[in-house]
Amino acid sequence: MSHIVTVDLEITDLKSLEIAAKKIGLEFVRDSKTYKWYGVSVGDYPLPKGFNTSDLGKCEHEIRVPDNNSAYSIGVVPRRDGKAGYTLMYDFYNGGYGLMKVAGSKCSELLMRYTAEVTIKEMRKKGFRSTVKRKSDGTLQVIARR
Amino acid sequence: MSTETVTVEIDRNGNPKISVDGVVGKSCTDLTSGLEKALGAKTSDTKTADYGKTDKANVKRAR
Repeated sequence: MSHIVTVDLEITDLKSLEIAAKKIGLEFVRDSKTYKWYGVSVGDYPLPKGFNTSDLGKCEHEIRVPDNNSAYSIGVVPRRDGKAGYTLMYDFYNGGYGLMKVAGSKCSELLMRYTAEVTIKEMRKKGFRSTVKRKSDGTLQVIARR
Repeated sequence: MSTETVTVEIDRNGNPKISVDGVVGKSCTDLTSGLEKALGAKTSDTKTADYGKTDKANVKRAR
């Protein structure tokens, strides 16, 4: 082994996010300016840095559960904390009425799959072929070889 | 020629831990620099013993 690097994820690649959403059974809707949530902020959870209650429900793109009109959806919104990329905004009350079952708790499935898709894409540029494996703890592992 | 392998362990927040096998010397960082940049902000970078070695085959070719 020659080097080991850890990274704090920043979602910057919308195409990979779209592919990731589709692979876990969600639908990516470009330019949908609103996402579905309760509709009223009850102030029980802190908002991401730089956001206030008037920002809730608004987004640049939306990720939703197909064929489930009851489910809340995820808003893809540019970050406001000085870091690059997008943040995911969503209402997880009562599991988002089916949203979290697909996206994972705290969108873990979507986030892990996004990282996997970016990895596959970047390593393909270097001539690597990748496989994605689910580990026994539920996390993902990508192995790229050439 | 040994197989070059890049392994990415992904935690539940989507954060990756990237490691490289089958590559000696500084060329290993070239392999993953694009990936690291595409994924986000580097939080740690540990070079192992293989990093300091020279790929003798490449040195011979360069001469």
